[in-house]
Amino acid sequence: MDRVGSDRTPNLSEGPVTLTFGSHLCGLYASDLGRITLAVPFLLAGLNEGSVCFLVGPSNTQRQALKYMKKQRPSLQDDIDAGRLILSEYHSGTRGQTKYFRSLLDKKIAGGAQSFRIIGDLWGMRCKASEEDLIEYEADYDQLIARNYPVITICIYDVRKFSGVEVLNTLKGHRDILRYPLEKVLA
Amino acid sequence: MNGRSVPSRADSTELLDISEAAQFLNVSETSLRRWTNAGVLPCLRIGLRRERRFRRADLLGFMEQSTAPQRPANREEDSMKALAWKDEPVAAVHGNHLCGIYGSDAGRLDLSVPFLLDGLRRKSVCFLVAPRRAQKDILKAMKRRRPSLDSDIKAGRLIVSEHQDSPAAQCRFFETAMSKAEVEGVESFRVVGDMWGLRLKVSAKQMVKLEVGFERRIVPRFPVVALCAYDARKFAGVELLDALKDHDDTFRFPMGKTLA
Repeated sequence: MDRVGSDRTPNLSEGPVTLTFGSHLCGLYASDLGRITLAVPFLLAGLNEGSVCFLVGPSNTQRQALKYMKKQRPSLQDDIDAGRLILSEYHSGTRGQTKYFRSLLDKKIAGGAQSFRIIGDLWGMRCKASEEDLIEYEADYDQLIARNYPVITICIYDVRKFSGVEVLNTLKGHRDILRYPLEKVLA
Repeated sequence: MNGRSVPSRADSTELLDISEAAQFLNVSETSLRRWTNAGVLPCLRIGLRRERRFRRADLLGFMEQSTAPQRPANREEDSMKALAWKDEPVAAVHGNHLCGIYGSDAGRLDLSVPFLLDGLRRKSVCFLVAPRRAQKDILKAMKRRRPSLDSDIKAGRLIVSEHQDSPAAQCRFFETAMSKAEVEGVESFRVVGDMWGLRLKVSAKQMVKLEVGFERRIVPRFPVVALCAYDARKFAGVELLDALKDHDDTFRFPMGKTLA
């Protein structure tokens, strides 16, 4: 099993992929290191470009991602303290989660923020909601958040935990994935 | 579209819940959620939980839209546009090695039937490699739209088989059959593989060997378009991820072509 923090350095380069506002991608991973390769470059690029970034997921996901990010960006704690990087777990209700995002995004825009990146480790929601609720959430998120705010989103799914059918539904809910090189969204 | 009988038109104002509507259209509830979320199928949302309700008339209209006569041929320039109903074939660009994932028996048909029928129309020699039950279902659906299918099989234009016992044997099977066909003047091929048929015989790791072997030995050598179809009900999430990683070509096509 891959160990985060091993001497295998993940490829943290974002490469030639062009991410535009409204992009709502899904990433699939099968190892802890895979999760890092999806999340860390995405968030670091967002911070570098001045976006407000959200990392939403279980606490171990947050912890591992932050550990890697700090290696590349020593000032990361400043970003957190200044509200440029926002960490949270998923709300227990899907509607509550959408409401949370809208409320915070509106507040940040009122405070001058011009762009956002959101990465969500969806097992954190699946632990609290049914399979059907998760599908509904992704659809609501797409309509209410992804397409309405200057935000780029990646929803990452641990395929060790989601069933084949859930993986299929995930892919169906993220059409944007089909315009990107495979290695950007699968790990 | 796949030979389903048209339900009664009685009481077109009646409201159906999602389960009833899924039965009515013979599709999954997930598909209904997806179509309503995408705005291609109307529904009402009622109550505090905003549960979906469907007018029978809307369902009938949706079904009729999906079984409307096909547009004329030469649609390659349009073939990349996503449709509510997956009757448009995958663009026939030789060298494509695509991964399709389905979550229902109807979904398997939605992926494989148009793909093979389009291949036969284009005079490709087509291969259907699948377990017997899947072969039977697919052939039945194809015959409804192509009554001459038995003569295609007899003439060797459609080759139907189960998976060989190993990835190497499967690749040899394709090489032999395609080489022979080329000598006889065949200029293009299509392959549909229902991959659970191989998974019943080999491990998950061996599955990757077939995909790699096919990509390295068959795709560069023969003018072929292949669709490897994976049943999401049977393959684990990790296996599907491996399948997707082996099919880079999939991600240049509209999702409606490869997920059902």
